[in-house]
Amino acid sequence: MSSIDGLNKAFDSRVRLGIMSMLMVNDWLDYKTIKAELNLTDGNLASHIAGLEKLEYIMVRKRFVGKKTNTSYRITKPGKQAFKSHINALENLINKI
Amino acid sequence: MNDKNPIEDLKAIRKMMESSSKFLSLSGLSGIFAGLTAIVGAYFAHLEIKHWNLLMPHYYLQGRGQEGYETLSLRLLLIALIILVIALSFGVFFTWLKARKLDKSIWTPLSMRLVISIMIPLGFGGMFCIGLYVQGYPELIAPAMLIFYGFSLLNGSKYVHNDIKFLALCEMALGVISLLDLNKGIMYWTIGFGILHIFYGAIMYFKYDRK
Repeated sequence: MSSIDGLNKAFDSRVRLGIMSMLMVNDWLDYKTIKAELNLTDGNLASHIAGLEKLEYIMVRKRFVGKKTNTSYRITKPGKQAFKSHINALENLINKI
Repeated sequence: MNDKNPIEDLKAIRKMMESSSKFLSLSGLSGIFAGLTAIVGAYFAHLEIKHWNLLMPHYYLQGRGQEGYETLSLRLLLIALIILVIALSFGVFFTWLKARKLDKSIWTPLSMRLVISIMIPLGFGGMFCIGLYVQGYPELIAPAMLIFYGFSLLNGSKYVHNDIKFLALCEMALGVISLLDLNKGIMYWTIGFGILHIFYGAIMYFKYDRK
C-alpha cells in the first residue's frame, strides 16, 4: 500500500482524506453528515467509502431509525494507524522541503 | 507518487477535523445579546425587590407576610423565565444567521450533541436551584446558577471554540466568590450572566465572526 516516501496510496484523493479526517475526531458519523460536510454527490462518496471499507480502514453500521435506514461509519484501529502514518509522512515531506 | 502539495493536504485534514467536530456557527452576537438581556432582566428584578421592600411592612402588618414573599418570588421567577426565553431566541437567531452565511445547517448531529451536553448539567442545576428555593435557601440560588452554568459550558466546550472554557471557568469562580457575599446575589448574577457574556461575545465576535 505505501510508496517510498511513506504516503499511503489509499489516501491519495482529497475525498478520502476528508472522510478519514472526520472519522478520526468523531465516533460514529452517518452518511448524510459526511456527504454534507464534504459537499459531495452520492455516487462519488459511495465509491470512496467502499474503497476504504474494502481496506478495512472504516467499518459500517446499518440500522433503522424509525422506518428509515441509517448508515454510519467508524474508523477502525488499522485505519487510525494508517492515517496517522500518512500524516507523519506528509509532515516528513514538508520538513524535507 | 503523490504530486499534490503535502501542505495543502495537511491543511485540508486539519480543516475537516475541526469543522466536523466543532460547532463553529455559534455567533458572538448571541453572547452579547444574552448579556444585555440578562442586565435588563436583573434591573427589573432589582426594581421588583425594591418595590417589595417598601410594601413588606404593610403585608406584615396585615399578617400576610408569607403571601407577600410568595408574590415576589413568583414575579422574580417570571422575570427569569422571560429573560431565558429572550436570550435563547436571540442566541438561536444569530447562530442561524451565521450558519446561513457560512452555508451550513444549524441542526446537525454535532449541534444536537452540543445541546445535549449543555442541557444535562444545566437541567440538573435548574432542578437543584428549585430545590434550594423550596427548602428555603433562595440566597444560594445565584451562586448555584453560576456554578452549574459554568459546568454546562465546560461540558459543551469540546464541541465549540476552546475559548468558551475561559468563560466557564470565570462563571464557576464567580459562583464560588459570590458565596462569600450572599447579600449581593443579584449583583454577582448580573456580572456572570450579563457582563461576562457581553465581554465573551464581543471577543468571539471580533476574533471569529468579523472576517
